[in-house]
Amino acid sequence: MAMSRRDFLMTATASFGALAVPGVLLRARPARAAGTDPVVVALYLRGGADALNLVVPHGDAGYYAVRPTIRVTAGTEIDLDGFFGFHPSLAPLHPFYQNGKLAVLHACGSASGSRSHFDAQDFMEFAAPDDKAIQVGWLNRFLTAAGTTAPINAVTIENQPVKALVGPVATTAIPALSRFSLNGTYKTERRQAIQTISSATANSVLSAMGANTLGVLDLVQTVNATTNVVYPVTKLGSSLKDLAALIKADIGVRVAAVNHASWDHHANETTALPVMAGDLGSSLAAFATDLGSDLDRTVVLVMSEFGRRVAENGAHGCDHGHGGVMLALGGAVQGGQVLLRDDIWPGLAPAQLYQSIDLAGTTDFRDVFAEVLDRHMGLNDPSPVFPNYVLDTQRYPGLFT
Amino acid sequence: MRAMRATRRSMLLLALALLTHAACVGAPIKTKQLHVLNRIGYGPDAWSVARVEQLGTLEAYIEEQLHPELLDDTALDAQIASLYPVETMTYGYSRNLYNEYTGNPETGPFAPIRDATRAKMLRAVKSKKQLEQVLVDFWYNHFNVDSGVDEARWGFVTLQRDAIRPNVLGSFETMLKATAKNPGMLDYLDNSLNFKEGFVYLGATYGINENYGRELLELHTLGVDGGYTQADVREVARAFTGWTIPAFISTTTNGFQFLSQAHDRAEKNIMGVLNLPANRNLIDGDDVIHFLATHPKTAERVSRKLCQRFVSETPPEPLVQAAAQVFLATNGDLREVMRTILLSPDFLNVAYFGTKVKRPFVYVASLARGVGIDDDALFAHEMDGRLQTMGEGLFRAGPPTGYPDSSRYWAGEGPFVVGINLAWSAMHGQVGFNPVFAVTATAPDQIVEQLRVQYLRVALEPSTRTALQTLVQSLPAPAQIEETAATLLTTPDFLVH
Repeated sequence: MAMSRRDFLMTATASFGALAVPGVLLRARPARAAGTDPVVVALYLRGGADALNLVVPHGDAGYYAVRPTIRVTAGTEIDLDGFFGFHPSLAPLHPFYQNGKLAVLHACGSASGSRSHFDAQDFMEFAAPDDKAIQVGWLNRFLTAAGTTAPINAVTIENQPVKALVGPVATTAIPALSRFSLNGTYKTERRQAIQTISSATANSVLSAMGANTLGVLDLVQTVNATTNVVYPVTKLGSSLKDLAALIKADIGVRVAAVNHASWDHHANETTALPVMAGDLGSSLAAFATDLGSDLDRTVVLVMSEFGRRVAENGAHGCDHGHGGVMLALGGAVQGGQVLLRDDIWPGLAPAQLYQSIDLAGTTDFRDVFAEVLDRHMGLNDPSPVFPNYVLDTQRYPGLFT
Repeated sequence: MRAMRATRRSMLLLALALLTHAACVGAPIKTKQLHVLNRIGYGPDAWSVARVEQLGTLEAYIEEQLHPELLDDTALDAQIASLYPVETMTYGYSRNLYNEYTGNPETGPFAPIRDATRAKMLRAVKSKKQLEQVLVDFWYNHFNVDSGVDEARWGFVTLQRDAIRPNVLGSFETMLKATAKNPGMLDYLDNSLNFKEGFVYLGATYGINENYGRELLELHTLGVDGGYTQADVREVARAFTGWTIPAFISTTTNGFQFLSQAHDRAEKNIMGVLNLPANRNLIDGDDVIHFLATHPKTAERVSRKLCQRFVSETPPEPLVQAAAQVFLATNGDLREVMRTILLSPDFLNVAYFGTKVKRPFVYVASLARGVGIDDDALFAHEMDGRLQTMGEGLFRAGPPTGYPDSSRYWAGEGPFVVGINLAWSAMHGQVGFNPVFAVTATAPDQIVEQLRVQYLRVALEPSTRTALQTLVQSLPAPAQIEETAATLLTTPDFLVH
């Protein structure tokens, strides 16, 4: 039988806001001033992050029973609510939890049981578990539903767009702001020729690439990439630094994606995980600080394709699992809480596990995505973003009032 | 400095260029010829264009490319051995040589990655064995190992050289078995720590690790829809217990050891078909490899991926099935599979010409073959970083899927900006390029026409031609040729193959 964390903690269930009014496109709002458009950032931990070691259920004795060598030592976690605690390397995020801007969503999962990285990532980024016919990213479907079409509206800080963004609406991939400019004395003349040629070609993939590239080149020239905030000197740090500059410049970024590789800890996890978690915590904290007041209109969703096997394997790591953890960071997030479906922790005793081996995924990731699109991004009806899934606002985890 | 030199040289060598360079490099070639050189190689260069003419038919050229052992790369091999000695070392020797952090990226643990990248770049540009180079890249991505990971930092060199290259036109099963025993693969997919439950190794207790077993089924052979279950993943992993890397690495080792005391000796059953009796050793893994390498799902999956690389990203289903039948009938003879694909009418179906966006490695190599290089080491050194910023750092793909074979994926803003800047550098004689312009005209339309003949070889889209003529007119005379040539090689006409 699942243990109720409510009994343990005596916490109240999250309150839900008013139901969304049915309608199309974005909810009617007063005209926004510059710098007030909401932004969603999908930060993907590639490889299957170990949810149980990132946000440790230290109140569940089952955790310690099956992880003799890779557990976070009892008492060293940063307690969040008497039951869960951050891995010590996530310390930079604790202040955001304490001041109510960071929420944890635990035991999140997919309706698919796939333990393949690639299928599980696709199913999540296309928000279509077990349906391989769907190859359009959930954020691209959001762009369609919101009628948002400028390439700069959706940005991947990578060489290529992540799958969550691919689809019929043009998006932009910028690997690094510092390298995004043309060389040469006659770049204006060449730019003009490239524009003319790209717009005339019958190859739609290349004409879109040309138009996007030149349009974004022009916009990016206006961005001030400098900041006083110190980021870690890592790929994630520099990606988030560039993204903060783009958001602060208010050139139209509404949807953004950042990758953090690689969380596939099959072996020697206690060596690798602290480094990864430290990079994540420090980079994300710097990003939130750097955004300043723009954090109020931004929500960062941290996600991974699945959690890992509850029991450690023979190589001091753990194999692919099921239920995982998500983080939501933003000024409007009702932070300072660990959100669980019906406020129940599914538990780690053998009989409570998914297929007897993995943490159950009781919060469907689509409910998390849908609440962000509805309550934060102002999309009246997120249903078109989630094919073959009946949304119910009662299942929203409660990230927003 | 180099830009000036290139311009001056272009004038000094003009007569020679017109007689030789333009006569073969810049000669207009038939569209079918260009397609073959683009798809089974890294684009036309002087040798390949002349070779097609010499052999008389495209079929003869394809047949010759299917037999790389008949083509002579002796000088290139010697150059690479001299510039990049890691290419000639055993796993154990390079591991012992490069294992220490020296503070110098050219001598420490990342030196093998840099040197192997440079060697691969030069092979793509200079080798006569063009198809072999394309296939080595294809199969490395199929069996991808991220060279940044522990033992893979040296094991990836022998993965490419010893496991993949000798077998790309040989036996799939031989290649699969060699990859299974490669220390880079063993470390990257954790089989080096896959031991029977409770096995104590170097003071620590270990058990089954599923990672290699799962990717062997999902990526190397059957495919994710191949009909296996989580239980089968476990059984396959058990079959490979004890396949590991020696604990102490001598300079001569190839990096594989079977640790029989770590092998799970209980009976195993895979997919209800393959039964492995109890009390056996290494042969458990060998039997699984044979079973998977000759499975119809593997034949179909490998054939489909090859058709996607060589014919079309959405290949005709009859061709896929024909190639799969040949795969099965020949026990996975990859030369016969490739012959079936390349000599099929589908391969030369004009509907597929120019339908693939060049991935960065293809773009850079075809740029070098078209423009020419004269400082091989500088070129190879510079392209390592360019490929990383374009998102295709060689041997650096993180996930075991390797880099995707997808036009949409590669048609990105980031790679395009780097490509625009690289074409500009190339036409200004920087980073090892050596443009020798065969332009004698001064009229804008004739400048564009002569550049087209030299660098693109086939017809330009009329809109491209008009825009380039406008560009020439907007530029001062001394800049017209370099700037226009640089722009020509960033047009859709050159970005596809």
